[in-house]
Amino acid sequence: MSGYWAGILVILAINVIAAYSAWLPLAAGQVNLGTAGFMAVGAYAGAVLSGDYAWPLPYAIAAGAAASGALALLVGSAVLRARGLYLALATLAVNEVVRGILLNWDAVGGASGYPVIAHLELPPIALAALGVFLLAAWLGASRFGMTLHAIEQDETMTGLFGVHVPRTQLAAFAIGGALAGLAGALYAHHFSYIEAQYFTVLLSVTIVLSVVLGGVQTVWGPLVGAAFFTLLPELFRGASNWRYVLFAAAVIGIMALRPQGIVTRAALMRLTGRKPA
Amino acid sequence: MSEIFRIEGLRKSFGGLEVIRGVDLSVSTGQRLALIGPNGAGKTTVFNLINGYYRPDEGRILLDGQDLVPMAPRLRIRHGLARSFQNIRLIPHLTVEENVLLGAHIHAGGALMQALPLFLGRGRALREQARGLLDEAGLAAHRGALAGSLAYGLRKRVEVVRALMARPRLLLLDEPCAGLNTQERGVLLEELQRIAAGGVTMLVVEHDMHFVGGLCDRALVLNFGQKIAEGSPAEIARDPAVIEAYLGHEPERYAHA
Repeated sequence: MSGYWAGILVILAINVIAAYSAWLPLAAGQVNLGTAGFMAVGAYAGAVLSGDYAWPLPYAIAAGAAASGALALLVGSAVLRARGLYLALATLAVNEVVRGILLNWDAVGGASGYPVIAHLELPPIALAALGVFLLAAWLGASRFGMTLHAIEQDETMTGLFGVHVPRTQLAAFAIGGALAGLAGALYAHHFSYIEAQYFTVLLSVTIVLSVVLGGVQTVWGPLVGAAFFTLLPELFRGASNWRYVLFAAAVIGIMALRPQGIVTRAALMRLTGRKPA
Repeated sequence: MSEIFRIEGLRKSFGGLEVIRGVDLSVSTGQRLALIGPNGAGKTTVFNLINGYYRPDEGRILLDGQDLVPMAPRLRIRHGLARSFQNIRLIPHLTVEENVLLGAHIHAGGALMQALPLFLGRGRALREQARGLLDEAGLAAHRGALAGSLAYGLRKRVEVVRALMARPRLLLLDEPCAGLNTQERGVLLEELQRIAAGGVTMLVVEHDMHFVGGLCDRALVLNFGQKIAEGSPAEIARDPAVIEAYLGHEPERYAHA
């Protein structure tokens, strides 16, 4: 495999993990625009542990994921009371707070960034993405996954059937936070250098957008969305400066044609030969 | 027959407007009580008070002797209260079977059980139960279909099955006939009669007097938040106060309400 394609596949694998981190809360109707902030926590925590503290790489990465999961649990308890747009704004603020702290924290390099010594190649990163997909498929097929969709559709009704709505949403948000941390820690150890400026709200928005475009109704949506967002700009590379125009036009076209996302439950049932009606 | 459900001295005001003005009612085990009355009489408010959507200003709502008023809405189904909705509230992009399984949430176990795929652990038994109930309701053919793809009348019946999955002590039906055509009403009536024959206690808000007569053994009429009559559906249909509440004056013959 050429270095070019290995590089693309690494980015794809990390984007897939990030997409699932945004998918879990999104399936319950919660827009998390702080995903990049949680990625930054995982990236910095993992890098500091593997670098300054010489932890073995798997432990450092797992600890990075755990740290951002714990932060998501903490932040989620506070901000999940907000709804819709207000929740989006609150998580966006979290993203900026995290970035602001890292930017001014000299122990982790501040504005000049933090070099990461340990290095990861494609295979372990791809394996992690596969693991995350399997975890998402497992959760998607569970009662927990089903209640997320029910909450997204009708919170009041779901509550009347005995579902503890806030606790379920918090669980989705925290698992999503941990997955974002995992994506961040893998990113840090592949690119050997991290800086706060990479983990912007724009990255969070892109991740959420990829999931919405792929479709939140099934476990396949985030995978397709992440692939679309990673590979299409590469396919358009021949068009040089026009490729972003082409890409944006493709996004708008798909949103117009498939407002529920590329992969819907009904489409999936038709594809597998079961009629949705 | 023993009493399973009782409301005592229920009052509720919104701002300065007293919407429920001292309602009492009682339902015995296995009985079907209809709550009827003109638009704005307070039927839906009574339902919302039972559900916990609103909190009453005064009064008690006793299910099997326990007061529901201080209980969080989420916990009431654990105590045996399940309902269907006037405007169908199924999850359109989940299958009929999955929607029905949501009804059994209180029987599904703790957080770890809920993280298992639906066909493992306790989920397996619940799925068997769901399939059994869908079979009995004549909905087996639609089990794997997406709820959003079904006809309105079928969705109404799926909602009833979903509520039954909770194995409720009291089943609340909020205008089961709303939006159904005559043929669909007939099918739903037969279905509910079959469920009633199985001993399920029901409290029904409904406008269609023919439907009420076919399903319920007693009816209670509300007007302006107060009880104005109670009795068998046939007695109610002849009651001058009821006719006046619906039509404003005494007509020569009872018309369908």
